[in-house]
Amino acid sequence: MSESDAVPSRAQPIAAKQPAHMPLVLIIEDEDPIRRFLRATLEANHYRVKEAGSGREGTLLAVTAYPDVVLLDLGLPDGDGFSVTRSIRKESRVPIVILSARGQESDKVAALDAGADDYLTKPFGVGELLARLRVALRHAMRHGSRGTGGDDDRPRYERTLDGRTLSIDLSSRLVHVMDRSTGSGERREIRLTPMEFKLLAFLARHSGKVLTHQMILKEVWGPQHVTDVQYLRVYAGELRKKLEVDPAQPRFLITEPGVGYRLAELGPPTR
Amino acid sequence: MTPKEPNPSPLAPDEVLDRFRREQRAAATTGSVAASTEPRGRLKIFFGMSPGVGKTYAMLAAAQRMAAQGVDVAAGVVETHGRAETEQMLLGLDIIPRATLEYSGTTLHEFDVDAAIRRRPDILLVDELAHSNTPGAPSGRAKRWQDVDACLAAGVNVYTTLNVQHLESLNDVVAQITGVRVSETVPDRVFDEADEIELVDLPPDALHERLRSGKVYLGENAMRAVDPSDGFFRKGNLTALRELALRRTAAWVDSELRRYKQDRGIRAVWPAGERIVVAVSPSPMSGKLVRAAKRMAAGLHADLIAMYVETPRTARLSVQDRERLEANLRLAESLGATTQTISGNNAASELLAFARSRNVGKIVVGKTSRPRWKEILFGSFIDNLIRDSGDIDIYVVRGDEVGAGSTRSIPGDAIREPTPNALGRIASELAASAAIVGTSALVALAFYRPPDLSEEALILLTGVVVSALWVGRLAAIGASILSVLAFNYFFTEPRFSLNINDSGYLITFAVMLAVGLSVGTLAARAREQRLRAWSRERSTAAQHALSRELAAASDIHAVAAIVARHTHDLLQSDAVVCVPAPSARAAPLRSRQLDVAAAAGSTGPDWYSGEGEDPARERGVAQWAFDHGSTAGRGTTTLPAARGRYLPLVSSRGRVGVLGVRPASESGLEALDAAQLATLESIGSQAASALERVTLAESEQAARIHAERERLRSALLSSVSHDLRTPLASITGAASTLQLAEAHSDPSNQDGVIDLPTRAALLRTIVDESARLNDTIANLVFATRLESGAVDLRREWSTLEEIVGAGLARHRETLALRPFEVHVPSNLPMLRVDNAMIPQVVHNLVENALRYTPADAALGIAAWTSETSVVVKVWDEGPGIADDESSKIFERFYRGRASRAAAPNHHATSSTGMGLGLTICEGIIRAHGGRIWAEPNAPRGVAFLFSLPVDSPQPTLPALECPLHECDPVMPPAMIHPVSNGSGEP
Repeated sequence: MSESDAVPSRAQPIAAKQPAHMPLVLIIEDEDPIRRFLRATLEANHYRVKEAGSGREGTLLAVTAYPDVVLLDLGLPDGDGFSVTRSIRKESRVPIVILSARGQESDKVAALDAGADDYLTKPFGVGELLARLRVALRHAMRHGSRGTGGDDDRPRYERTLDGRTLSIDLSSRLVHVMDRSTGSGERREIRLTPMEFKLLAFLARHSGKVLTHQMILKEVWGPQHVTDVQYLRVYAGELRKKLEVDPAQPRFLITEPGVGYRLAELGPPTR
Repeated sequence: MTPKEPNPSPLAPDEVLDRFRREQRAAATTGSVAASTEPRGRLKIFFGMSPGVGKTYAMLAAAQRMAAQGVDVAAGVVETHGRAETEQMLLGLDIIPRATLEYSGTTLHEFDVDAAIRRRPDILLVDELAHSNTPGAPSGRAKRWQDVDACLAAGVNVYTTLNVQHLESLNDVVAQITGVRVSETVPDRVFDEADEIELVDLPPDALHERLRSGKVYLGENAMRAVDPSDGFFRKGNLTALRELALRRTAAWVDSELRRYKQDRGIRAVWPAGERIVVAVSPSPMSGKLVRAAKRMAAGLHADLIAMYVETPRTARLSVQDRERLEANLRLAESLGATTQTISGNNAASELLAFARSRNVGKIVVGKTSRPRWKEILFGSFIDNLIRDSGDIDIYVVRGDEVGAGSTRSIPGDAIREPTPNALGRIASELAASAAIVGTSALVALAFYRPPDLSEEALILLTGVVVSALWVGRLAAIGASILSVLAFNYFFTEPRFSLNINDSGYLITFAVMLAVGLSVGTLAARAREQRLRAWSRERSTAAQHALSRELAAASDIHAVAAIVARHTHDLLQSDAVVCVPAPSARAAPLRSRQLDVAAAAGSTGPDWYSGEGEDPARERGVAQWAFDHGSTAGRGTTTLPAARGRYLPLVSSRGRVGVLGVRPASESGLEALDAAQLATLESIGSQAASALERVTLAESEQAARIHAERERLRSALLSSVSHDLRTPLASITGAASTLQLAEAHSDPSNQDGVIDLPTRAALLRTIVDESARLNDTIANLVFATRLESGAVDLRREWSTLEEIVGAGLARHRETLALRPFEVHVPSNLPMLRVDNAMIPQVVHNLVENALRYTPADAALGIAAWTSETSVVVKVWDEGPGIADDESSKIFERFYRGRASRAAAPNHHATSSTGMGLGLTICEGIIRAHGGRIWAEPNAPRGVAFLFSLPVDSPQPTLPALECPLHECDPVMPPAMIHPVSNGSGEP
């Protein structure tokens, strides 16, 4: 539902225009009905699909079938998603999206820290699923074409949510917001501290993806601060004060309870 | 008028009691718990007058008939004695291999009870019920009838054989007839309780014929056995035995009929059950007395009570007498009598008082053979008994002189054998009396004023009384004689000689002796009574102390410890109390393993719970006593080789444990005397009821908790099924409507086609209701985890702002349609909470507000901090709740009254809710050490508030920074960033 606003979409048009490059999704899930539903949904949305019913089979297919993205169920009968993620990561950098139930936060965090790219909480809507796949594919493509550096190192991002437009320019280190509701459409520059900017830049490069506390702390504050969650809380609060209309009901910087943070997916500037 | 109901005439109380006892016994022997599932096996006895009448053959024939009908018959033990005909009958029957054991260098084969029970045949054949097992037999039981009892208790039906001479009560009658005493006996109880008796009868002549043709004994034995003039098989013998067998069978049939009538509530024609008391003494002839009384009781269908009266004179019996008395009482028990030991001054009056109190009609005593002068001097027990008996019949039965030892006795008149110890005591008593008399003579000398010697005589008599009071009866007698001698020697003329001048002094001496003896005896008796009263009082006080302590004990281990300590104190023995292991309490009674609950003793509990063979054997005996509900170990017939005696603690609801005592002395069969055994029994019964009480209290508590849990579970189930089905029904309905529309998409037919807005609404329903279903399930899972304590908090530092934001995320769309305000100051302290759970609380509270308020009612969230906690308030301006509801509202499944009243005002999903949401909130908040409550909201509506403690110290925070492009990027951190101050606020 959070993705219902207009998102500048990239993956879908590409897939639609170039059927030969229809991305291949590997579904690792032991429940037949869910596999059936995923296959139907994905094929209707121009994806190719391969299925695996167990972690062992899935791991094998993940390295042999060259999927573009993997959908991995956390509740597999033959092993936890964490170990499957790890064994796939040994061989391949294919993006992995975890499917899990509510209440498995620590499992999710473990899988994400082991190298999974994102997660979806069951039950999920199709819109949400497609958005996650899109984000995963986009990040993978960026990474695949450049090979090094950040996940996504475009210099400029923009997104409009609930009438507020957030623009970030990483190269000039400038952040602006513009409120449609205020009428004037005036662009205000947001003044950030170096750490705030560093945090926002990291989130922006991975926009749309969930990032665990540990990942963010390690990247932004350094490995010696991975347990200092309170740093992250304070800075997230400060960022929200500056970016959001109502910090208690954030639209851009979303908290994923028990897991981490997600910055709403940002697109290229529309202008 | 309605026709009169054919009311069954009421039973006499005694019969009701009788039937109740029988049923209870049946329940006890099978194990009360298992009784309903595993009925006791049936016992059929093939009963004969003598060996050779064909009992085994008859049993095998019956077995073959049953086997032919397809009944599973197995032979446990069949003694064919090499008889060809009998061996042939064994063909085709399944034979259970016997257990082999070594005994005194020879290999023996004994009946393998356990194998038989494991085999579980429909009918098990066990020959020779009276057989005595080899010591060390696998079953650990002394007699085969005990093995059979075990089989029956395990639910196996048994066929067995028995000769009349082996019946306990007929044992000595048969011995009188045949001159042969059989040592192997079976208690009459076993016979009486058999389900079927088949008499195998053969006229004596026919038996002789069989004997002669060698069908009974083979070879030489045959000829010897048939010798008509002599031996067991004399015709006279056989006729008498046959009569006995027939009569006993008739008596059994009679009692069976009686039982039948009683079981069906038919009014009995015979008078209320009689009771017979038999007076038992340590005398060997008491055995015969008991058997005679048993026969009388059996003939009269009367209960038999064997009594022993302990009087001052018999209080100190010799060891042999003690053992004989115990044996006699045990014999009475094995004959089905109840035994009773009472103490009193006068055996006859105690016996009569007891008889009156129990409504006893007949007393059986043995004939006495005391010299006449003794009877004149001390009074005859039997005379006293008869004189005061009133309406009670006294039966005096001839004593049997065979083997009468040093002690001839009737109750209350046993004479002690002088033992070295006793001789020493006599000597010391006499010495003491001599000293007292010497002292009084010295005093009298000081008052010597002839010729009047009355003062001197009185002073000497005082010495006699003092001897009696201080030392005892013997001293009093000695003192009397010594006083007379002293009087003669010191005071009468000529002084300092035993000669007398005046023959008149002889009368003085005689009177003085008589007075001295009677005063001394009276004083000594008074002393003895005082001593006895004192000891009785002490024992009563001890028992009282025990019961008082037990009343205060509240758990099994406290009870066990008290019992063990008191047993140790009262019996000077090591004591151990065992109860079924907690894990085994729910198991069937028989298979419960015992655990030591408490032990007391001078040497520690190693003799019972230690390592090695001996303690293991003790534990085995204790387990046996528990499993079978009867006393075992030392001094009993079961496993007497053990060092301890094990008393099962049986309460009204079954066995609750075992009390074991190990007497300090190692020697002697019977280390505990009757009084101690009585004390043990009394401790045992107190312990049993105390254990039962605490066990009941524990199980009652468990049952209450269980019932409460069940109640919750059923409430949950009904609630769950409703709350899960409702959204499911909506989903199914909407989805099937769409499916139907799809199927009818034929353009020519417009039926079932739905327009686009309807279609959208249906799809919306499916999505919304699915979300609701998901919420319900998540709540359920969460509530269950909270309830079971399976939730562990992953606390980390969090800001309330973020928590509220996460909690509101899933309500964003709904809240956008309502007047909604959030007031969360940014300067709140950080909280160490589970970052996944607290947002759930906010979510649930908002969900609750949304659900129970009209769609246009305002709601909001506010937060503030007090010194030690942060308070969050979720308020609404809905209809509010009544005062009495505010405490109930956090109970699981509680749905506010408003839920019904306000339901129609809210969107479609509002009508139900399990009240789980608030319970979860409470569970989470409580787990965090906070508090949650409801209060009225001003101006209207209700507010839910929760508080969370603020941890101090607060975490270390990153240093203050300048915004980019505004100050020197390398400026060092100047101060700790205060949370309260939003730095760089634009």
